[in-house]
Amino acid sequence: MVAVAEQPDLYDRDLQRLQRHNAPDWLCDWRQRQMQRFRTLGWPTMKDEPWRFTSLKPVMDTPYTCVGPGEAHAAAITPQALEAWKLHQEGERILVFVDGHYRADLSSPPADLPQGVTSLAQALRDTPEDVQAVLRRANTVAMDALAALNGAFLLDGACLQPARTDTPPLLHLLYLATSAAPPRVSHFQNLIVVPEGGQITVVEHDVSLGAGRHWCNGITHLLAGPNSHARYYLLEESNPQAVNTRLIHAHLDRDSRVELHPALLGGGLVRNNIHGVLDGEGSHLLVNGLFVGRGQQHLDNHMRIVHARPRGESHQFYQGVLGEEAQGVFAGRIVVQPGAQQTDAKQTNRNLLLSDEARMNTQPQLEIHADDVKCTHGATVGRLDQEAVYYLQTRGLPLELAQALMTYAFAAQGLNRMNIAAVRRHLMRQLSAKLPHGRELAQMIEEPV
Amino acid sequence: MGEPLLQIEDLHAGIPGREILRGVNLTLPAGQVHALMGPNGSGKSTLAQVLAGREDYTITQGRILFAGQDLAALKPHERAAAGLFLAFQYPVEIPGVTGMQFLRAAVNAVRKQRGEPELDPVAMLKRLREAAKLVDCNPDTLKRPVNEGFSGGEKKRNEVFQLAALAPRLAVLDETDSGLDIDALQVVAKGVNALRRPDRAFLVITHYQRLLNYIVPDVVHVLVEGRIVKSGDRTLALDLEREGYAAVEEKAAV
Repeated sequence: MVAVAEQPDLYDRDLQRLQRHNAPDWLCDWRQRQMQRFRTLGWPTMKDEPWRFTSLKPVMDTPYTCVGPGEAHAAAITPQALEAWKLHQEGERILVFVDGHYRADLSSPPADLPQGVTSLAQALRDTPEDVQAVLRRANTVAMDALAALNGAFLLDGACLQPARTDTPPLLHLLYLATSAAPPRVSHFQNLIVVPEGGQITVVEHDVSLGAGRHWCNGITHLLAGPNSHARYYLLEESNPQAVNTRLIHAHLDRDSRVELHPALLGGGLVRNNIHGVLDGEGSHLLVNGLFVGRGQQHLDNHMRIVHARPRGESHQFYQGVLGEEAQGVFAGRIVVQPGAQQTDAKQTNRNLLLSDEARMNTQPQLEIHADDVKCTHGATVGRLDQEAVYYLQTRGLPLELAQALMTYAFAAQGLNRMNIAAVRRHLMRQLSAKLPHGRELAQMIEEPV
Repeated sequence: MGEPLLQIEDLHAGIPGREILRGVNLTLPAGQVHALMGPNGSGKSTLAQVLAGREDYTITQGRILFAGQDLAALKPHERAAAGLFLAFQYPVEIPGVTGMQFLRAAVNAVRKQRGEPELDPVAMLKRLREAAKLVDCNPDTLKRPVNEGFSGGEKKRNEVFQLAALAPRLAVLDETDSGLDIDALQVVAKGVNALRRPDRAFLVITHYQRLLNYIVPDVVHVLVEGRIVKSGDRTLALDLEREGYAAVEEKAAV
């Protein structure tokens, strides 16, 4: 831990400026307290166990500024430009954010959005007490300094509390980050509350509007009610200069089922924290992580799954592909608390290295305080299966294409756990574009619609 | 007797420091089925791999002509495009790629190299369905990841399905019968027989005679210590089963 010496005045100035936007007292207090907590905790350093392999120095050294509502509209974005990022799935509703601020003019018309789906800024204006209550419920897990800094700039994001319906829409949260001087940071929060027996599908999608630096420090709280079913996808596709630090916190009530699918394809320095708490009997959590790095990307996956109640089931799969000089980290811990009997937890991290320079650090961990449980974990780091590459060659594929297809095949094991065809198709394209011979590869693997 | 499709002349090949094939001569005309038999370690599978172009093996002497073309100059995928197919003894599992994606990639890769237009998804599906029907294979196989979790029999059957889909001029079956029970063996053999054509040749590599009850060869070759020591009609395979390789070796040595 180091004292917060870097950029202190800047953050204070930003906070003072943003506090002026007629926020209720409790919210101003909340922000001040979070800023205080950020100061107390200080930036994590590589001496701190959870940050052993990832340095935040580039973030500390850069004067990222947080813009307020109305200050972020520098970039001209047309609705036509958005087409390229849409998933084109039936029932898709899109909420667009620019530098963390909701843009109603670019989003699905309010009439098309389900009741209870709005921006956090709007919810803070309309139903501040309700938001406050959700924040209290959500902030039950330990938050690190970055989460505290996010809380200090709690301004906007998505607030999704749809009522129970038979045809839940796919909610696409498109976060566009601009390249500006000085570079910008967005500290958004997504609050997702799924009612008892409800269903929801959320796709959060991070994209850069330019090639310059920006920092996205987002938090998603997903509170799954009893017997509910939630699917959450994170598609990180920002530019190689971008920093993305985030926390995805899922809280599971009894008999709920939550799927988290974080796919890290873009970004230069990415740290994705997953914190799942199985806090109801018989709940089920799937974490299906995929990370694909090349160039000098640094992709850090940090995961903590807590089994707090009996008969919980959690499966975690992380597939990593690293080429060129990319670095990957996986640190996953399953905690089974006393009393969480008949827990069934399984953790697998498989990694494929495509070059001698690529690096992977993996640390699967179990911490078990109950006796009647089934827990397994394992990690592998390997190279392309030469026998399989040869097999493909004998079937007519040139060496490079055979290698590309086998690389895709490795990552596709993660894709195949995603059951939204449009997301799979989208990721398939993004993925093949990142691999050598991407165009030919895309033709080979395209699923018939 | 048709034109020789495959002509192996005085072939010496092996891995660094060890010669495994030590002067193989073999002529296989189009339209025929030849069986290659031999004891373990005689070089049967090495010959199959040298034909397919596995990099681990080096040709040190002699040559292989495939439809008049020197195979040594071709990479494995170019051999596939030229019309050579190897059914693997141990087919590889490819989780993450469906049979459909795999075969579409293979068929189109071969067509592309031959300068033929790629098949669109509809034409491809039609072709693969026909191929599946020909070898009595369930087309649902196409939806599953390639060979993943398949039984030994299913894997071998999938090889024959691939063979049907790629429609090569020469198919080399490397111990396709190993590990199969009699039912699976019959299914695979039936598929191969359905694919026999006047312009296609088969080289069936096997340790045991029993496969040849179902795929009846025109010629049987016996490979011992890297050389073909005897060739004959299918009765040679029956002799081998009755008397064993040792007896044939002795006779050949005389």
